[in-house]
Amino acid sequence: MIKLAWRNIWRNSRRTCITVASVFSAVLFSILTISLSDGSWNKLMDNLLRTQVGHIEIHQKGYREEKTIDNYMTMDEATIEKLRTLPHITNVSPRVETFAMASSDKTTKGVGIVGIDPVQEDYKSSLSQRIVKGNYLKQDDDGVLLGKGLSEFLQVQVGDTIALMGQGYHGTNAIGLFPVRGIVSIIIPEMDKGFIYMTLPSAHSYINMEDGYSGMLISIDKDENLEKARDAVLTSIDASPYDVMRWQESMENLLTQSRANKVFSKIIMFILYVIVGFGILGTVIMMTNERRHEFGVVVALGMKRQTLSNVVCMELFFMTLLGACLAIAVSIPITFYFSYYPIRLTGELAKIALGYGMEPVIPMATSAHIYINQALVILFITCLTITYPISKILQLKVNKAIRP
Amino acid sequence: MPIIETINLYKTYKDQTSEVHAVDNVNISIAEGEFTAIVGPSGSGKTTLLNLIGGLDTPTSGNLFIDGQDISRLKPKEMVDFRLHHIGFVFQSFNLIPVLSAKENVAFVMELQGRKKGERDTRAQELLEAVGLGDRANSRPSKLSGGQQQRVAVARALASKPKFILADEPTANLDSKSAENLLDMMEKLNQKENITFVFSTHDPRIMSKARRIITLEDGKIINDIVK
Repeated sequence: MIKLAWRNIWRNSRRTCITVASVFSAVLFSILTISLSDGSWNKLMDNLLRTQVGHIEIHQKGYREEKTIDNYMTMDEATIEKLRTLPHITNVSPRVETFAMASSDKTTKGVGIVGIDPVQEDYKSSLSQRIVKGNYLKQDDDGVLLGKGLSEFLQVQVGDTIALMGQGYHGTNAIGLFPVRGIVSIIIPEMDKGFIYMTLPSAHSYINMEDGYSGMLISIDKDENLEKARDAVLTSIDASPYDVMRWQESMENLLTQSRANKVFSKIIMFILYVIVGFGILGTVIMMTNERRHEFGVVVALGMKRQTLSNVVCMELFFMTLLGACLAIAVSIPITFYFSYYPIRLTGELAKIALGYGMEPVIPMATSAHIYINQALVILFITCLTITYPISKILQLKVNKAIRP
Repeated sequence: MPIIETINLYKTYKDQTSEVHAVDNVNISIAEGEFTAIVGPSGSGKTTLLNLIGGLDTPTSGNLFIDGQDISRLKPKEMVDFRLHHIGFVFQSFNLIPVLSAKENVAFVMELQGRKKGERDTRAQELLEAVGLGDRANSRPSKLSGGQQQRVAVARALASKPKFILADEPTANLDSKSAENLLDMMEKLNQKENITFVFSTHDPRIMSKARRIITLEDGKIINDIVK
């Protein structure tokens, strides 16, 4: 029966080619669409996890609701070191994050200040490799790093001094003069245009607080170890004063927006699947009607209708599988190429991406589930269309069907 | 015991205003080894009668016995199985499966019967030899002439070792020489192997070879001559 089904699909090679081509284009298009969508999302997440957030974040309880210096957390060095030794944890970066007005002798701008441990931060985000002018911060440095966009706005160079003015601990004024040690190119454009890095001692001195942190950013080896790592954190320290959050919780707004985008993509994909489904159904209806006489003959000869239905199912399955496999085979080199050499947006599209705070590149994701899921969806659609020939075979009037 | 027997067989088609008796109270009895032709003008009901005998259609009333079994009472699934094991068909337009070779076409019915591959292959080759096409076993139907295709169809009909073969206008699509050859072959199979053939036909060549001619008109038997 398998041989019969295989030979049958090549009987009308044009019809088979049309069906295979429609499945091929649908699977290919859907793989590329999902791959682009997942790729850009993964890139955004990767950027954020490498710069702004950690896989796990520890904050003082209440900080999330009201992000003020007065809600900073404290944690002794021994506890921080203990966190670094926990399984799956690759990095613990204490942070001091606040806001200030930054002034050069030319202009002033509102900026975000990030107090970092230079060694740990470099391990987390490879910040030193993004220095475009000057030097990276030393452990006890009293200077600052400026985003390239910010340095251009303030019109300052390495060696110049900037003044920062903001709010310190318990309502004190935070004021300081800081030499510019280096200019850094930050991958998230909004940060590049508005962030300043300084060492933790400098930040503590600036906000008039000895040992406070806005939070601890913890990186882990693999995303699937998130829960294990978080559990380890919770059990190894007294976590009662802290919120120990997963990255999904600390980026809840972004995830909500992403879910909305995914719903929209799913609607687009659904429309595509409906179009493809009708394309396949059209071929199936044409094939069924063309072969009505043949179906009648084989049933007359003694083939059970169930067996005939199985043969027709196999034919459609072969054609769909062929189209899906071809699409996967073609999509793999394309997606892998664009995952290593992402599509770089230019012109208006680049501006739009920058406007959203995103790097103007779209890499493609290459997770196995992208290829498999799209092929399975199309196979499922084919299974739905198979109901047509099966119902026709089951209702077939043999004596009428065999009339020449 | 007759191999085919119909008792008060009716097939009636109804529309909103009238009833048409395509088969009207037909009583026939065909014994094993007969070479019978059912003849009559178009619309006389001969194809309907052949379909009823072949289990491809169900009678409106009456009884139809094949080898002593009343097939008018069989359920559709049982009927398919019955056809597979007891009845061979030869169609007007050959109806070979185009993607299978001549040998595979002949073996096809045996595969449906669940016979082993070795047995299928051997018997298919023997049957093709018997119809004079042993050397064309691996040819696809598209590579065979009409007459050759109909010979393969006869071999296929014989493959299931049926009680009888129903042949609906088997020579209608053949040239006269092919038709003669085919009929000679069928006659020989009938005489040597005692295979029962029942034809539905207009063809005078079949009528001349048939040893019994049943004439239908308006669904009724108007004549039944044994030569």
